[in-house]
Amino acid sequence: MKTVMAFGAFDILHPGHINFFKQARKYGDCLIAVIARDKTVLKIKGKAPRYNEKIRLQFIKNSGLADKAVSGSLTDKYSAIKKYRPDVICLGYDQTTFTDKLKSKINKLKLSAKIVQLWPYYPDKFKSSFLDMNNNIENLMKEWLKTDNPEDYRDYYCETRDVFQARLEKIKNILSNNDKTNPSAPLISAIAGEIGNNSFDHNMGNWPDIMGIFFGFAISDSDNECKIVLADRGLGVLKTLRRVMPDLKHNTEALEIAFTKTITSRFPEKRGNGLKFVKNSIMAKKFKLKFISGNAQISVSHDLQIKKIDEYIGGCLAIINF
Amino acid sequence: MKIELKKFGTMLISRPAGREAFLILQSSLLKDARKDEKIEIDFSGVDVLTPSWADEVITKLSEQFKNLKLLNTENESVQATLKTLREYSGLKI
Repeated sequence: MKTVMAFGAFDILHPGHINFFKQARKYGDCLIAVIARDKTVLKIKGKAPRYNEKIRLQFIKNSGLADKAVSGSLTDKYSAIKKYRPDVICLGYDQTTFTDKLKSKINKLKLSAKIVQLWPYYPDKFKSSFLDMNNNIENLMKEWLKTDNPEDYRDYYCETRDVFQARLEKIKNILSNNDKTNPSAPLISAIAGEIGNNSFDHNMGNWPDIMGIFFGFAISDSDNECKIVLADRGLGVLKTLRRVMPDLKHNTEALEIAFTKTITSRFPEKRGNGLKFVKNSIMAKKFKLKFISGNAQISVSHDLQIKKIDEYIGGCLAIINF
Repeated sequence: MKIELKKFGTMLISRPAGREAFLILQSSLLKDARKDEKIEIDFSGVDVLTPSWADEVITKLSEQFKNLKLLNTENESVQATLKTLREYSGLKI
């Protein structure tokens, strides 16, 4: 029997916790939840939990989310690991406390436990259902493209390149720590990095609306499909390319050139290979990309298709499925 | 002479960061380097590389130095980036 162990305070139970347990359960047959003690929560989070340790423990026991729930130790944070010797230890995507030395500690204890970082959960503030998160991230992005208050979407809005890079690094770590996505992590990060940075490169000093990009990540409920979405409210591909090709008329024409020809809107700089890299990498790895700018859409999978659409995006929008 | 790219970070992504890295190399490690000097570029420890960053460093170095060698290029994003530079930026190595 394969034992899985997950740690946390689990104070006010929310859909993110449910998603956490749901993911953890997939790694084995018996899931043990270790509930942090009140003093530990105070030390780590800087404030006491709303519910005390007895209530939190009882709540997880009653919830059925785990097969067994036990209290953490105040004197030895590895005591549950020593006692139950799990095959897999699941960590939340942002769980860093206690995890730094976990790998070496496991080796010292002569355990072969595998450490798995679970996916983040992006709650949808507009829906009560949390099962449809894959579509929700796209809806949020489309709302962000029109909103007067982009800062309300602070979990996804990257106003500057530095914020984008930091979030991309975090997503890259999540992808690297998951068996399914680990092999694709470097290339997917590079693809997202090219698209996101393109927005900053081509609109710097010229943002017609708000500066920055929307950047989100989601995984389907079945764990089999991941999605990265990026969008900007910049000039769009047609206006950008018109700097060097003033006769360019249509968005479809502009998208085709951007994805297939080496041309730069920032002459005399030598550049313009980013989207070709994106296209070739997507095709080689059998990922999927939908990229919209103006009223034109390009779909890249095993081949490349460009069409005019009814929708209109002032800047650029990209959805990568992998 | 060996240039260890990991000293510039493990995620080498943006064009401005690449430009900065190139300027730093020019004023430090490569300051007194001859045009025919053997330069090794080591990609070990680089997690993510994009053509934007690499165009500002690798392509420019290849134009400046004729005896360039690329080491530890196994990472998939490094492979795909070098392929792009060879195809679209005229990188010959």
